[in-house]
Amino acid sequence: MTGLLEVRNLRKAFQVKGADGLEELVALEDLSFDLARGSSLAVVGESGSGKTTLARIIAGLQPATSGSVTFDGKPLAPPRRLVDRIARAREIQMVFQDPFGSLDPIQRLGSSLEEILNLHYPGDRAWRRRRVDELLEQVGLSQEFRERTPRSLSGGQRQRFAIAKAIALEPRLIVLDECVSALDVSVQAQVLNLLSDLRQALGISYLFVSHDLAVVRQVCDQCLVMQFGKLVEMGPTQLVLNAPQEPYTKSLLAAVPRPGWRPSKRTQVHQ
Amino acid sequence: MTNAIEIENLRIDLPRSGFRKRVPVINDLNLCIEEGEAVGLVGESGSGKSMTTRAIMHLLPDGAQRSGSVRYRGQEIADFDRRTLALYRSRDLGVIFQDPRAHINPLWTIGDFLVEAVVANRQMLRAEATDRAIALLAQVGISNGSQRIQQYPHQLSGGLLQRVMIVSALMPSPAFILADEISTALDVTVQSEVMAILSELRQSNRLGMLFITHDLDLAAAVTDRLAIMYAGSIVEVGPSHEISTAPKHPYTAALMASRPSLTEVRRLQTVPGRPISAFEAGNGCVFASRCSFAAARCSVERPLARQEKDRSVACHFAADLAPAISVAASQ
Ligand SMILES: Nc1ncnc2c1ncn2[C@@H]1O[C@H](COP(=O)(O)OP(=O)(O)O)[C@@H](O)[C@H]1O
Ligand SMILES: Nc1ncnc2c1ncn2[C@@H]1O[C@H](COP(=O)(O)OP(=O)(O)O)[C@@H](O)[C@H]1O
Ligand SMILES: [Mg+2]
Ligand SMILES: [Mg+2]
Repeated sequence: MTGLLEVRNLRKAFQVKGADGLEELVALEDLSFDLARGSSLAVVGESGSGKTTLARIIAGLQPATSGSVTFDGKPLAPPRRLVDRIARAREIQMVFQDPFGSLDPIQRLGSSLEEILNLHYPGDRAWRRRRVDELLEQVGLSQEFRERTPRSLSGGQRQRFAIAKAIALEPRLIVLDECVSALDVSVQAQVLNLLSDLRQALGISYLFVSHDLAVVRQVCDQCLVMQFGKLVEMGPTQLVLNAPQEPYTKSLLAAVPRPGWRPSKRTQVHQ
Repeated sequence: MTNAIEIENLRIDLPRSGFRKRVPVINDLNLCIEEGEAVGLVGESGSGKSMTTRAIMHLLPDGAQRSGSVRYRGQEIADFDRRTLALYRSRDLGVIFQDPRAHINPLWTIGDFLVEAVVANRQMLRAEATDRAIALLAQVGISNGSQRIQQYPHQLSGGLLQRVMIVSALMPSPAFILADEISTALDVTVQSEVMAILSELRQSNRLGMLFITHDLDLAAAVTDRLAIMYAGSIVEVGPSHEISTAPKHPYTAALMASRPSLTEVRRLQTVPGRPISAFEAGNGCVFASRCSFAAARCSVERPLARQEKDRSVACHFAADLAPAISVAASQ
């Protein structure tokens, strides 16, 4: 079995203004890993570790400085032409923490979904309408939501709709960046169950970026730990979280509140 | 034991666009905090946690209508004259917010920020205040305080800045700490550090604290008692270790069951719908519309909080539900 996604020696440097002129800020350094077909890979690490940068490169929203990303055996470069972007959209979709930025606040949900379908599969209007019904149902939004606008939705409903858009074209990979982090616990649970169910039903792969280890355990079978843009360790989620090998992973785990936990000053401080 | 803070039958109504009349955002809230005691206020967004902070500071939004009472050391704060209120806010209360960058002037040095308030209210002279700031910075693990006080906020990481905010709250030697989601924006390792520091300082200075968060496990770890809030009311109160191991209100149990676990994967119990605010709750139990145990009575009659030893639960069926709820919460 070959990987769906193969990342090799990926590097991303930003030019930032420093004390004396432009400086190089290395967000990703020599990152290599595979994502198997149908697998759900977590990318965890603290803020600034490079998770979003990685997600954006894989979703084609940002170029890498060097290194390569291969999707289904083909090199993945940022799509330049419209046809490339359309083709990419059928393979990889992205869901953000706050989907509002990527949604038209006043376009009705039904028409927004139909528009995507029409762009890719023009013709057959009846099929499109059925497909919209099906998509809304899959993410647990009743038919009444067809006529609603993103502005009138709660955070959880909005995230469900963003997921409906992401699965509309049946992509093989969905990149999710902190997609449940802003949700209340009781709503977060609904979305996490939805993500597990969709993966079962559709066989989609996830690249699931999160800072929350418990959330990651719930939806991912593989887990990659990052610090300062470098890979710290990677393996089956259960192993990484039950028997972490690296001190950094251990310190992350030790700091998560849980029954019987006490805060401690021993954990590393970032100055 | 005397109470530092007593909130009794508090109701707050606010003007809201789309509504002709003011709507309630806090409804019949009761909560007491003893001197030196740490109480955790846990709830989801919109439940009224920050409005409770503002009620304790007596700093409500324009147009707010308040009834009931909030007392500090036995005195109604609404009766404070301007000067007393100003001193109460700046000296008796130490307030720490979620986002330090929103509450610090970016053009001031850390030193000015820490020293200015206590000098302005004539509590200390500048030199004395500077010494205290440096000493407190050392206590929160910032050893190079004399250099740090010359820096500007943008030169400090979020974790360091939040520790500066703790120092700022402690500068006037307050009796009571109000902490609203102070670690929500921090990485877990930094959160652990900041909370350990705060707990230590609180215990050595015997400070009372209201610790507001949406994270029940975190709150349980740093407080003596927990109050669980939903739609503007408190549905359950009790010792932290008891609430977090044996909840009695269906909402508390649901909160625990919907949180994924670090050690095992199981299908998460979900609560249908979304958290609501006080004005969306009808006359019945605030949680009735989402409660899987709700009966007809629940949607028409608001349950009163029933006290049993050191626990209090506002649920018509708390006694009958105990076995079912303990199963739900432990799943
Ligand atoms: N457009 C950008 N320009 C400059 N620096 C950036 C840019 N995007 C990200 N960075 C920097 O790259 C590092 C990694 O950021 P990010 O990928 O957002 O981390 P994470 O998502 O893990 O918090 C950080 O130091 C961040 O400041
Ligand atoms: N300044 C304000 N004006 C009108 N309504 C407000 C204002 N601040 C908060 N609210 C409303 O009051 C309710 C409680 O809000 P808040 O106390 O901020 O909740 P929490 O801190 O628990 O998330 C919410 O319905 C919110 O929309
Ligand atoms: Mg990020
Ligand atoms: Mg709040």
